[in-house]
Amino acid sequence: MGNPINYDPNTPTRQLSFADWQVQFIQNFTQLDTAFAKNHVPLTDPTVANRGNHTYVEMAESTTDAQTSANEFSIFVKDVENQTDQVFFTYPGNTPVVQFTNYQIYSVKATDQQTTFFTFLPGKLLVYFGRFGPFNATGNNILKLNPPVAKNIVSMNFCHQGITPKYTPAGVEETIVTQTPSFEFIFTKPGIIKEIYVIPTIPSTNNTMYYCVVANI
Amino acid sequence: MTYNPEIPLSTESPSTSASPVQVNFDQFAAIFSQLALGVFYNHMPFNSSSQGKHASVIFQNQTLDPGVTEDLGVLYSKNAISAASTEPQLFAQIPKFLPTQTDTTDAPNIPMQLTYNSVNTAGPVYYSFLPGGYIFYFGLVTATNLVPHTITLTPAPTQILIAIANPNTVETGSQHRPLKISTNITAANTFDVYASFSPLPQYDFSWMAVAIA
Repeated sequence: MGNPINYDPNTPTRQLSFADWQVQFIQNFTQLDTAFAKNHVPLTDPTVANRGNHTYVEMAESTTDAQTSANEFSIFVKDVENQTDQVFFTYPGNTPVVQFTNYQIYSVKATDQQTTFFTFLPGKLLVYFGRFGPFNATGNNILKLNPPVAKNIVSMNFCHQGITPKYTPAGVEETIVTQTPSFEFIFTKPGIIKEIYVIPTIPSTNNTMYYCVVANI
Repeated sequence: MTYNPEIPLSTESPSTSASPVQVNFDQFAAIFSQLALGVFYNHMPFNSSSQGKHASVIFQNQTLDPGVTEDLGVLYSKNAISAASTEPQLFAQIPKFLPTQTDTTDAPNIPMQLTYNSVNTAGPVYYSFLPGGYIFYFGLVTATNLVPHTITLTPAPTQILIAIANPNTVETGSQHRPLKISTNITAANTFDVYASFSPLPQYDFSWMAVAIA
C-alpha cells in the first residue's frame, strides 16, 4: 500500500486485491479533493455553478520568469531584490516580462508642510502625490519622497493651490529677473532620491502647491 | 452527480463501485473543461495540450483577506467601498518586507486594491484607476474667459487629493510665457481652475486629479 497521506498516481496495480486498491482510491480521491479545495471552490460545494471557481490565487514564488507560448499570457510571482515577492506578467511568446506590483502601499504620515500619498504603475514606477506648503519664506522647502526608494525621477508636475495663480507650471530657473519666475527644483543623483529642493521665487508663506512625481524604483 | 472523496466503499463489490468512481473522474474532467461561448473558464481541459493551465479565471468574491506569511503572492476579489458603490475589486497581497535599510517604515503587508469597477475613455472627464483605491481623472479643456473654470468629477469620489492644471496657452505679449494657473478643491467632486491674465481670452489647459474612490 502507498503512503496513507499522499496521492499515489500509480495506483491501483493489478497485483492488488480490490480490498487493497479500494483504500488507495479513497486516498487519492481524498487528496484530490483536499488539494483542489486550496484556491478553489471545492467539487463538493452545494452551489454547483461555483464549483471550480477560484477563491484566492496563491502563486508560489518562481525563481525564473514564467514561459509562455504564442497564445498564452502568464501571471506569476517572483522575488524582487531588497524587497519581497511581486506580481509579474509574461506576454505571449515570453516577451515582454512586466513587473506589475512594485511596492507595498501604506499610509505616509502627514507633516505640517506636506501630505504624501503614493501608488505604483506597472513597470517599476512609483507615483508620489499630495500637497506641499506653505512655502518657507527663507528657503528650505524640501519635498520629501516617501517611501525613499526613488532611483530616477521621470516626471514632475506641480500646480499652485488657491484662487490667485502666481506661478507658471514650468519647473525651470528663470533668467530674466523682471519676469515673475516660478520654481526651481533640485535633486541629487546618483543613488536614492529622497527629497526635492523646491525653490519658489515667491516664497510667501501662504503659497501651497499640489505635486505629482513619477519615479523609477 | 457530486464528487465523493470517500469512495469506493469497502462494503461494495467492484462492479458496484465502478459507477461512483466514474462519477468522481467525470466531475474532475467536467470542472477542467468549463466552456461557454468559446471561452474556457478556470482551467484548460484534460487530454489537451494545455491541460491544467489556467484559462479565464473566475474569482469567487471573498469576505476575508487571505493573509500572507509564506513566499507567495495572492490575487483575490473582495468588496471595496467607494463613494459611488460597493463592488468586488481585485486585490493583491504580498509578503511583508518592511522595514528595510532604505525604507525604515515598519509597514504591514496590508491588501492592496488594484482595480476600480469602471473607466471612461470617451471624455470629457476621462478616468482610470490606480492601485490603492485611487481614481485618476484627467482631461483637456478649452475655457472661455469665465473665471474660475469648474471641473466636476464623475463618478464623484470620496475625496480629491490633488488637482493639477497645466496651461497649453501662452500669455500674450513678447515673452509668450505660459499662463499662471492654480487650482482650488471646492468639494468632494469639484475643483476650480484659475488662470492669470485679465481679461482672459479663450485658453486651453490640461488637468489631472487623483482622488480616493
